[in-house]
Amino acid sequence: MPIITVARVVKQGKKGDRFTILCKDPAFKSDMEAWSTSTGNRLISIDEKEGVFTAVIEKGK
Amino acid sequence: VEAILENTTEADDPDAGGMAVLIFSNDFDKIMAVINMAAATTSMGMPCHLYFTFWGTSFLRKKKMDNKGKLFLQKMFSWMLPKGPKELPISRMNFLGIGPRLMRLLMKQTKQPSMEDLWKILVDSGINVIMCTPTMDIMGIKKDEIIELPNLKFGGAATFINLAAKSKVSFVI
Repeated sequence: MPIITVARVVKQGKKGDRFTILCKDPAFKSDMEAWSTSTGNRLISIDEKEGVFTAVIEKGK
Repeated sequence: VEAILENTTEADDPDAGGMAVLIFSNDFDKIMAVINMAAATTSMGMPCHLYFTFWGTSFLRKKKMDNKGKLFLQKMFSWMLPKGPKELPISRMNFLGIGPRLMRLLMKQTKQPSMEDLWKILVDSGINVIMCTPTMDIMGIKKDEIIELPNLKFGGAATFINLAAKSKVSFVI
């Protein structure tokens, strides 16, 4: 599950840090949107190219 | 005013606003679904409560039995029910116990995390596990027959209802 890894990595950062995440899970987009709204982190962008998602997150609190 | 009150109590209470699941079944696939949901819940920074009751208590059992002083039927339960996650049956296509192994193999082949991997993540993230004490009485399960966990509590129906009422998501499986 990608969001477990994402949550772990983002937790180690500071407020305002940006993370770029690449993922092949087809559910990644909707999961990331849900995850960022409920955790208070900002999803800057999410794009798909040939089945690979690239997401940029900014750590909230 | 009501909304403000609700928010302040929620902010003060670390148990509130997450997920509470009553795990009744000991089927591998059903518990796997709960563990997946729980992993997502903790990743989203929400508290998670897993209440293991009746057949679900099999999941928390140690391999080692201590049948001293148990009633005959309690010994039967002890012998016949699964002892821990490795022995759980699957709800469909069990094929006399081969089904769960095939499912584990399939999960490995599709690079899914195993039940044990996810469970370890949950325990490390401080998930709340509640063992149903009435079930322990009926089945004669002793406290030292249950695996050691940092956040293991014992409780009855009211304990679960209290947690479920505080949580935003709650279901039975």
